Amino acid sequence: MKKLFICVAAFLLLAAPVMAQEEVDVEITIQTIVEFTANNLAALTFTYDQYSDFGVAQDIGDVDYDLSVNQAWQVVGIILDGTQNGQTAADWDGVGWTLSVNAVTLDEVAADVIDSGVAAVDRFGSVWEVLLTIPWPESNSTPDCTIEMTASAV
Amino acid sequence: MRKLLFSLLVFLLSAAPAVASPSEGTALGIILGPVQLFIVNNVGPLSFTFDQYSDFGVVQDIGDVNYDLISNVGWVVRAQISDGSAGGQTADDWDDTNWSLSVNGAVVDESVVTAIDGDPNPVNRDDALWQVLLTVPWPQSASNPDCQIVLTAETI
Repeated sequence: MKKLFICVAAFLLLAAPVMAQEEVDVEITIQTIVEFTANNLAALTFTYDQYSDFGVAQDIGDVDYDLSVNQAWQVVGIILDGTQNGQTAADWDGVGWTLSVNAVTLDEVAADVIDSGVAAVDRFGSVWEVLLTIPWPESNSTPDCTIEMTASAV
Repeated sequence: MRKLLFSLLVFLLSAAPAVASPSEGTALGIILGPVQLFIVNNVGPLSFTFDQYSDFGVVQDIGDVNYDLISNVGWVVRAQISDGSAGGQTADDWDDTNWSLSVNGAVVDESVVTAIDGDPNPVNRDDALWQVLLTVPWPQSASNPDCQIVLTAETI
């Protein structure tokens, strides 16, 4: 009887699984991400060469940008009339002319929201129409400006 | 008298082996129990910062699990994600549904334990390194999620 007990005990000792438990911590940081790239390579251009061009909105091309933001966001635009990119400063009539991007009028005074969303976004090749209206009359000239756009998380 | 004592002593010495035979022995019983030593060597947490768009949606190597394992029988190491408050972590901030985490190529989640390593033979490993890969799909708002990988070594 004693031998039997010893055999059973030995069997149990050998058969019982041994278990050990350990942990490894994992910590992730997800930052606010705003990636914004304007894809326009050349300038938007338009030539006024007839009377009917004046006084009505002219489609001078599209702004094209990629935008990835992982939370609510907005894109604002403002007209710059300086010497950036070799342009002629102060030759844009920000008072008499009307320029809009995505149907939002921009000026040189303050940035205006031209695009926004309350949720994350992942856009490639977002194309927004740019319209320009110059009232009659306007003398011969070659004015230029820059549309500066800024994307941010909100 | 002295001769008699000497003769008796010689008789006893010569007769002793005959008294001791037949020879006897002592049984020796050994029990080799299952032996297992399992130590995780990771000191700090595995960490990764998602700071650009391209980080999302693709597998990111966030480091290695490092453990020592000694076992004299067949063995298995299993893993499971724990998203509680152990170790000062924030509970319930791990998106187990959408995120994918693997250890040694085996996907690990919160719902079940998954075998990440095993062998039917004994093992004696120091610093076994197993890659930990994490995939978080776009978009994911700014946050600091954490979890624990619970590793369990067991003889089989």
